[in-house]
Amino acid sequence: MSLIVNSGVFTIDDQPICASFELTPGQVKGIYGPSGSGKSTLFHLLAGLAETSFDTGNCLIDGKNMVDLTPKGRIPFVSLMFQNPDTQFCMETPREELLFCLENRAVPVSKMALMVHDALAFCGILHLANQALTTLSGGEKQLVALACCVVLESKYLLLDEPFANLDQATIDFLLTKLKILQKNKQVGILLIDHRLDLVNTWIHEWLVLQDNFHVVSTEELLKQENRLRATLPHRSKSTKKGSPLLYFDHFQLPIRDYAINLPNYTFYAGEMIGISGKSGLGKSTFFRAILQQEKYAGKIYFKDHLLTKHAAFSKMSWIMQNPQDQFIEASVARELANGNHAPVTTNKLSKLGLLTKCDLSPFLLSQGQQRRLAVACLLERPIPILLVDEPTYGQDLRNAWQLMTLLSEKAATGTLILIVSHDDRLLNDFCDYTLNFNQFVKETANEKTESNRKVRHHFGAGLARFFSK
Amino acid sequence: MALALLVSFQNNVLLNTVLAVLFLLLVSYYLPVKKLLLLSVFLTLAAAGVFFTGLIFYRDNQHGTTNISSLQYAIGLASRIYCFGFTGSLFAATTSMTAFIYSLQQQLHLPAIFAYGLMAAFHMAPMIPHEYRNTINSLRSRGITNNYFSIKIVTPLLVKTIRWSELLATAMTSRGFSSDETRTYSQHYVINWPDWLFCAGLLGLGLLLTIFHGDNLFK
Amino acid sequence: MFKWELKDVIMVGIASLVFGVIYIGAVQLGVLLGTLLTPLGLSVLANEFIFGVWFMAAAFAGYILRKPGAATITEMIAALLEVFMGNFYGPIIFVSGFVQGIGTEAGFAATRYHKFGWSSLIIGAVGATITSFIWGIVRSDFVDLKWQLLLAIFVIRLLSALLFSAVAVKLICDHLNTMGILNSYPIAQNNHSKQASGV
Repeated sequence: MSLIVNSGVFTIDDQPICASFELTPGQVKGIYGPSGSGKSTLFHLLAGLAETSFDTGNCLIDGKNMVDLTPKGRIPFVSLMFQNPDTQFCMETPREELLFCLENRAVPVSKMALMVHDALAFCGILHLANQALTTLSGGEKQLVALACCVVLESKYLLLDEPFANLDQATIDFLLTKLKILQKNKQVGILLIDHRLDLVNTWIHEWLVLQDNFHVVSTEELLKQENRLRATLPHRSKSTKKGSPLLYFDHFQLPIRDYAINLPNYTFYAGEMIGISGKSGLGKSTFFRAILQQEKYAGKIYFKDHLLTKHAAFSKMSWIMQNPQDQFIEASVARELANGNHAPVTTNKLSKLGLLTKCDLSPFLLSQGQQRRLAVACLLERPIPILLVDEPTYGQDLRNAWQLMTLLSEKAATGTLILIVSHDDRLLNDFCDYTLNFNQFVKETANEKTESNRKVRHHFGAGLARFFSK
Repeated sequence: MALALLVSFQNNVLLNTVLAVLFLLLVSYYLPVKKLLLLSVFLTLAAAGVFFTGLIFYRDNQHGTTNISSLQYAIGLASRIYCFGFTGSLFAATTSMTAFIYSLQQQLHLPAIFAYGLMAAFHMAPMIPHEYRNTINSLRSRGITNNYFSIKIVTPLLVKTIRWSELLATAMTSRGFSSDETRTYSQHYVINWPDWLFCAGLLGLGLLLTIFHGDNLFK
Repeated sequence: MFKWELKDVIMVGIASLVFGVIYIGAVQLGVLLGTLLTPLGLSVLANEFIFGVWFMAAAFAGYILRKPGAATITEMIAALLEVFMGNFYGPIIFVSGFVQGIGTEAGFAATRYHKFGWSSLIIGAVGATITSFIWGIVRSDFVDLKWQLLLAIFVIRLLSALLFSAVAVKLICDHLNTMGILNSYPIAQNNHSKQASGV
């Protein structure tokens, strides 16, 4: 009675990986490894969702081989929770989605209502039952996904970075619920995550997919991370200030029922500045405001000129979280050449670790490689200001370090770089200083901004209704 | 549907008008005033366009002159636009996507894979404008600013399309969905007698007016 | 070969939406143009310039999925989604979708689903133009219009179909294919066999 992998061999980037482990009901284990090391592939193999099975060896769940079962047959054993909350639902509302799960299981109709109610109540989202899924926040969607896992009543739960892009409160809530499932219902849980700090009191054993498969304890993994951190080269911080570049004058950005205030603030050329603060605080919205895509009060000056919508993108580049948003060419080299047909130097490619991938499509790279390529493409453009949104999310330490090094080299050429990140330690290691946005927040009783927000919300909801009618 | 075909094959102003008015009344019951006005403006624009086309380019016309038969013909064309327009709007206003697909699946045995696949696809609609903005921002960040309709913008959107479809399919499969297995239905959709009555009534009305105007049939 | 996978259905559905959004963008231009042309009686022509966008979804699906019926089914799916996005022609565009899909399908069927290249897309575009033209005449009762105008409608629609549903679709699909994101679809099997034979 457990989930057992017997020397299961699978291939990632032509490298065979041989995994062996056992997960008993009520046990929880983490899976750790750099991006592209095959964590998701392993999950797909375990859940029988991959098109192939293990090259050699097998995975038995309570004595059954997943590959032999139909999707319906697998449900009692395994279900998955995915990283991206936007692409996991096929119905309109949470209630319908849960009913869909139950219909798949061919549960008698008479039992459905109660089961749906219980699952929604357990996840604290009864009030969202009949709202359109497209209008829910990422955190709320992830709770719906958990509710789906609850109604499926599988014995083992595979969680693929479930905390990605969630705010701290939701993460804590989700963790409590998962612990209840684990302890009270004896659900066995496997979890992929990069952020050891979130779960180090809950998970004690990690399956590491790096330098071949091995198992380590949490303390050992933390120690390894610290050791690695110590050996990596640090950035020498700039001492002299450049010329003033970006000036905020009585800047006030309304967000829900509060506002981010920067009454009088100047950023200088060549600075590298971290921006931290609670998730969901409005840091990305702040970037959009700088790019003139969001309404705000007060003024933003670039050098001596008021920043206008027209000029924004000629002064700034915005590096967004998802690198796949921006690839348009058929090969890495052409992507880097960025339209002008100058040959890409091998030097640049090897620095990015992409020398052998030169002619490959960007979409066939691993996630870490894609992120490096995306950042490198944008660094090519001579630009005074770079806005960077969570550049290291989902990256292991080594990859994250490499990205930050690329960015700091850009800063050395006189570019102002603002980086939003949840990783305070990394920001500390690289940035000249870190702005904690929590301290700029003020509650507002501003009725005008409030009503604006309402109108926008109403409009947005209307639009969503229109599309999802 | 049969009704629509009936309308298609004849130039019957009376029938078109009666139907247009009937559906206008029904639509106005379901739609808010603002939407109704917008719809009317839109339809009127389209109808006016067709009207002038019919008026000027009628077969028997001498260039530039108009006569009674071309006017009749033009009115016929325009009334048809209204008729289609209000029928379509009524359908969209009263039928929910989910209900309609469920109904197709349970009455006409549309395979489950299509029914649920389409619902999944349809619920991605709000993401498309969002992704479109993302793409534009990304491209602008790279200094690529020109042409809003170029292949450069369509490419990332279609790439997303393919990614999303794979992710959604995986998610649905992991929740136990497969087309070949028996499943239960939490809700049953049936066509009940008022529906039949409505349908029969409309057809009857259509036929009646057709016979009444019989000389115009298959003109 | 006939079997549809779940991801195919979803892909076709979302692609229809994407092309639908493009079409709606184009329609706004069309309405503007159409209003300008109304006094001349030529407003029906405005829509014809962008008519080809209608056929894109079918050609796209047929070209990528390479199975019998893909184009027809896709065009009907596109019509279905269109209805719920509030296209005011309503349920009748199912018929339009079917008719246009059959036309596009003809291009792929002409080679019995063996060859998928320029020729099938072009035949498809021509086919879709012809079928949709006939259906358009019936539906909108254009029989009694002057033949010169009908000819103009036909020619413009044909050019539009060729531009959008043959040239644009082929370029986009081939580009996506070289990017490697279509690897799990039949369209990519061609490259593998090409690579294997050393072409």
